[in-house]
Amino acid sequence: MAKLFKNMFATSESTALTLGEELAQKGVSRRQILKFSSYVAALMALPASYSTAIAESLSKARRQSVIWLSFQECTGCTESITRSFSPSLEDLIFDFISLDYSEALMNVSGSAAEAARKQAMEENKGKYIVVVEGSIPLDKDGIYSVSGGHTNLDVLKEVAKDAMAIISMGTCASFGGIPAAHPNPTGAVGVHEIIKDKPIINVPGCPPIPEVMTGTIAFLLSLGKIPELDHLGRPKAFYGDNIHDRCYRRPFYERGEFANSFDDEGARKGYCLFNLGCKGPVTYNACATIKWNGGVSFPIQSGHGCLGCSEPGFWDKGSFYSPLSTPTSGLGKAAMGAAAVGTAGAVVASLVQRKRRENILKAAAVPKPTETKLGADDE
Amino acid sequence: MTKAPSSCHENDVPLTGLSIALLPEIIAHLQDLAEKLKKGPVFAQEIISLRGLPMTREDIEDLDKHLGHGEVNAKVEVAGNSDVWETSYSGVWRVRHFGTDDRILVDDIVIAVIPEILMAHKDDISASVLRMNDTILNLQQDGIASNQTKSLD
Repeated sequence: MAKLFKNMFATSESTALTLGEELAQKGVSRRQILKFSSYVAALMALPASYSTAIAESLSKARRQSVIWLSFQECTGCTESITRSFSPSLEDLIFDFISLDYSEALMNVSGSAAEAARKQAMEENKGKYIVVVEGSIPLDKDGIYSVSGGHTNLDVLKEVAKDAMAIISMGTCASFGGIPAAHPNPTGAVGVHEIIKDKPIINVPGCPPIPEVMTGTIAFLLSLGKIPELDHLGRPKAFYGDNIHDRCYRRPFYERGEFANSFDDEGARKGYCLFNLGCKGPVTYNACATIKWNGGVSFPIQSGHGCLGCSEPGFWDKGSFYSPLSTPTSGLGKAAMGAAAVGTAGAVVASLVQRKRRENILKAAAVPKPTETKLGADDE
Repeated sequence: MTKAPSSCHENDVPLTGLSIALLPEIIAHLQDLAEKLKKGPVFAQEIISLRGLPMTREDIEDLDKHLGHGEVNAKVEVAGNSDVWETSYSGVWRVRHFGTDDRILVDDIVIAVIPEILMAHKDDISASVLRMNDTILNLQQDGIASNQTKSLD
């Protein structure tokens, strides 16, 4: 763990306080950091036992410079990460980063704001994280979206040059999103189609789940490396399973019990929403487990099918209310084994969680925390 | 104990069976802990995160029914509230961290002598030594000052 941080913060200003020291001065106890770490570990599907190691790493780290760029977007992702958060546990992430530039959140504007961005880039050369919200128009040299006289394309290239890593926040920055929907009048694309020489983490969703956004940033901070990504560059911890496989309505699908309209008996009984156009079977995201608004609910639980917003081109895949395909005739047979589905499904879910943890840990190369003898010096 | 948030349809969902399926995993960790403790006092904890599993509210309630309630109840008031309680099985704990509005952020089963969140950290203890020392010095100085005032009277 210490080595990971040595790599990440090797050239950090040695005079700067560590987060542990900085937070202690503000009256934040280690118990508070440990609590945050267990929250992150739970989010990232890391064994919660690693929360101790994460807490230690965070305490020794220094504030991470973050430059947040807003391009062709609706600011929904910023809304999601800021508005849904309460001044408590989740808020601690903002103590761990130094948000040096964000058009939506910073007080200053105009040339003062641009000066802050340039200063952050200069002082943290090669070490800052860039968060991009929104797609980038390429048509007519990117003239469709300009800020301070510079196209989004130029700003992205300039800021990405000395970045440590880029997080494409939301479906627009990840895959082009709604600006890139047919007929894509501005030639909008995601970050990865422009920047080829930097690590890019895609965190799609319209918007992404707040916990997924903070979890990804916290993973970078606490483990000092990029989390394991899937073939679309998304963290597997959050996008490793599809909504359908983790959906609490899955047993109804297996039994062939479907809602066929939004006010029929099936809908009232909470049956599967496949026939009403649910895109859960082809959508990879954490909505079914982390859920929204702090775990209160998610679209399917509220009676509406998944729109598939974390997948590329979700806006152009036909009606949100057309079923993916006609259910197969095998469903009748599946119903025969329905009694076994519940427990078997549960065991599989537990195994999936364990397997996922193993993969994430392998990728992150996290050393297993050693057991300590009570009373022994752990230094 | 804070009530879990309600939902629209989950009341209609039958138990998925996950609560029963977790019990063998819990006992395996508990057995490991018992074996380790035979060799002497050791700090080790295994944690099962319930939020990472597709459990319904009914599943979690069912699991808590099986685990029961033990002798210890604790509240941690830092960065939001946390409820910590020992189940009826000694060494099996429930740890639940809340955000504001009583939203559950972390919902864990912890198998340990004591969950780490209840233990004081060495850095905080060191800071306490300094803080208490300051308090004593201040009290002594106040005492000296007040004695000097009295003698002046």
